[in-house]
Amino acid sequence: MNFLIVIALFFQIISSTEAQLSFDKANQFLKEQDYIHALNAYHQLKETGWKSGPLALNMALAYTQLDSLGKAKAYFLQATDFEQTQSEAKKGLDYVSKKLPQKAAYLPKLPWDYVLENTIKLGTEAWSWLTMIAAYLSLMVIIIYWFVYRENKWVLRSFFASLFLTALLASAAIYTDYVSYRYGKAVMISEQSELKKSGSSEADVISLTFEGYEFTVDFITSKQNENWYYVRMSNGIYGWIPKSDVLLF
Amino acid sequence: MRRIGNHNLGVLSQIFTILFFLLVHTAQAQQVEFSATISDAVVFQGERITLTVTVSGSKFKKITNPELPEVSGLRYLSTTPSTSTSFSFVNGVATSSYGYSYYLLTEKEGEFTIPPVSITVDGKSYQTNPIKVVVRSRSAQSSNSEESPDIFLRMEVTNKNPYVGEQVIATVVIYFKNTLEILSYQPTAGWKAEGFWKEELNDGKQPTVTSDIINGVSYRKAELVKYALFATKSGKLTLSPFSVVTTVRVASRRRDPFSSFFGGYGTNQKNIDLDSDPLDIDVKSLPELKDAIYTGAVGSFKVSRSISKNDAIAGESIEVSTKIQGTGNIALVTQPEYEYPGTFEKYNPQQTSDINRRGDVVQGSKTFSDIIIPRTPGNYELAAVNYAIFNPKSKKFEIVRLSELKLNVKRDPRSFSTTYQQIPFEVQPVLGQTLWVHPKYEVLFRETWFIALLVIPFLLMPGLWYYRSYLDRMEGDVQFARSNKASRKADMRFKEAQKVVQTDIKNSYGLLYKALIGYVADRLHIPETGENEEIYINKLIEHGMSPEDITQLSSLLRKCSTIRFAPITSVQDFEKDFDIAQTLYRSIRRCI
Repeated sequence: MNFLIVIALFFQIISSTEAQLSFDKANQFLKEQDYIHALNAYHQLKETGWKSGPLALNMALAYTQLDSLGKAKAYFLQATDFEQTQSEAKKGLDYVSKKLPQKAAYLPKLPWDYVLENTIKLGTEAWSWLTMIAAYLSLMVIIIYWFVYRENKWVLRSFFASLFLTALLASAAIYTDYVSYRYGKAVMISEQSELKKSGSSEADVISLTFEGYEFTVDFITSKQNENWYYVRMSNGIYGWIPKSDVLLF
Repeated sequence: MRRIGNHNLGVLSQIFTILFFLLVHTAQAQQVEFSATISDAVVFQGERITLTVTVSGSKFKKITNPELPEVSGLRYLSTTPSTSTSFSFVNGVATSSYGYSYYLLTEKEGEFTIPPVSITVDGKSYQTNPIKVVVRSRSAQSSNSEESPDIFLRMEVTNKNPYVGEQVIATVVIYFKNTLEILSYQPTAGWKAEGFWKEELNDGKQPTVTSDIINGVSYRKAELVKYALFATKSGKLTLSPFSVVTTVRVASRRRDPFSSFFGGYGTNQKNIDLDSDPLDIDVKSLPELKDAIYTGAVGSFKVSRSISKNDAIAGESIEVSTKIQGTGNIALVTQPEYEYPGTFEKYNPQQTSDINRRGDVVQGSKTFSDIIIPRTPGNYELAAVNYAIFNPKSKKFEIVRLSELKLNVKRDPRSFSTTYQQIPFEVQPVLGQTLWVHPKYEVLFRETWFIALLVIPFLLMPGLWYYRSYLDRMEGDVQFARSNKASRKADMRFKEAQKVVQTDIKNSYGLLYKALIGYVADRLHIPETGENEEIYINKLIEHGMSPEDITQLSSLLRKCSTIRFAPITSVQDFEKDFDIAQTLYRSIRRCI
């Protein structure tokens, strides 16, 4: 068993070394201001499945230099997920947002929105482990109540509280997984497009959309049309947009 | 019909020369116009026509009298002209115009040409174009001229079978008999030429009246409005009727056509609405074209392509301009699309145009500009292209080769970091070692091991609860506790009996007795001491113990009760009785 773990670890190290090598080569293009080739190399690396904050950040910078601000924004947003590049990515986002000519309108967030947003942000895995801890905590409390402090009502109350907590955490884990599976984030990368009432170029226009606009993509509903995404704009409007106009991040 | 020869200057009489000197102070290069017109292009034999020679300009000193040519079939009634003078002052420029009118009599039937009229202005000679006159015999005049309309409108075009984009002149002409005078006219606004791009050709001059003979009837006619039309599609297109509202009255007998056309007020005036007939135009499509860019240019054009600079730095904007100029459908020419290298960014193209309508032609220029930004250093070449222009005269495309454009893009001399300094907050790329993750989308709570681990506490809880309840009952319910402890107590007594058999065999029988009776007493909630054995036997019978076992049990119990009084008892006997007691014990457990 230990042998297998060592072998797996070895291949993991070898593979990440190759990724670093490709990354260094791409960075050389970036240093030479050859942004097109740099981006080609970054994309090749990205297709291998490796992820890192610097990769997303450098891609965002290359796109910024090429004035592809929509794509730059998408990769800056991606880079904010990594602690190593979070700070720089936020600066980049600020810059890109200032440069984009069209600003999107945002619905004011309700307290409930913040709760849901942070719930999703923590991730399914974290919520799952917290559920596990709460379940064993419940078990421990009930054992104490039954066999140690039989007459103590506070211990009993603690048991019910921990049981409720377990259910709550499990719900959060399931909700986060559902949201991660069903919804995704995307940024508009073409200069201008139209949000349609249905997934067809002949459909009525609901709203005009511009480069840099952020959308929430509903993947389940989007399955109805092959080349269109069903999205929610930041101002709360729902509609259909061509897949080629947006970049998922 | 009017025939005009536009030429540079002519003649002046001495009087006008003096006047001219008073008005004009400079004697530099002259800008003059010299033209000749006749009052009627088609007349009957014996009628009189007027030849008018006009010279106009702003700066001239000496003008000679016009030199009149001899005209076959026509005769000058007098070589002394009637003269007229006019002055105008437009945009700070004074213009003088002098007119000489000669009357000619048509003597013979036929088609005649008035040769060019000559004039000398400041020593330089000018000539007009020759003018044609058709003289017809009065015998050809229609006998039923009264049936023909007194006035009508007609749309006349220069070409009824043009190519797409070819210019066609459409003229709205009013015809009226000599008995009418036209006091005024007003074209109805909003005439549409569907399928055509139209340009109104307005020279700002008042219409001139000429004569014509239609179906043997003498008419006078005037061109009211003139358009340049360019078909935008092929096929049969129809020019809709053109409407004009006129005010007419019976003409006086004066022969002056201007007087006739713009006559004064009088009696018998009336308004007449006139409509031209619809006119069909059969537009031909253009021949097939291969390997060339065609942007709709039809006419006589010159095309050129240029680039704003051949050396640039990455990120700098470059302008690629295409200029097309000449005569034809310039307004319909569209932007040529060029292919640029993939590393170039192309921004919204721009266009400027300068279109003039001079005489009967539309001409001008159009410039299309592509703004491109090369992002990567290198030597680039924009490929040469063939640009096609259709020439309606030769009825084929003329190909203009636009040569390749070279562009050398250099790296931005500013350093990499300098470029990034333009970005607020100085966002810098990460170029060194980094941490790599290979995320796999695994949902933890869908993993079997995780579910099992999560379920364990909830499975344990009912078990623990059951155990807790058991303990509670054991503590609170004596009978339950006796009943539950019965077998354990019996087992202990059996073990104890075996243990002491070697040392105290009588006590062992006593323990056997207690084990059996104690078990039955605990299970059936009967006090263990002070009761007769019969009670236990009867209870076991009630619970269905077999008679053989009852007999054997009674026998064993009796032996156990009486053995303490027996003198000798061997261990072997005890072992035998112990086995019997074990068998009976199992049998009792099955019953109760």
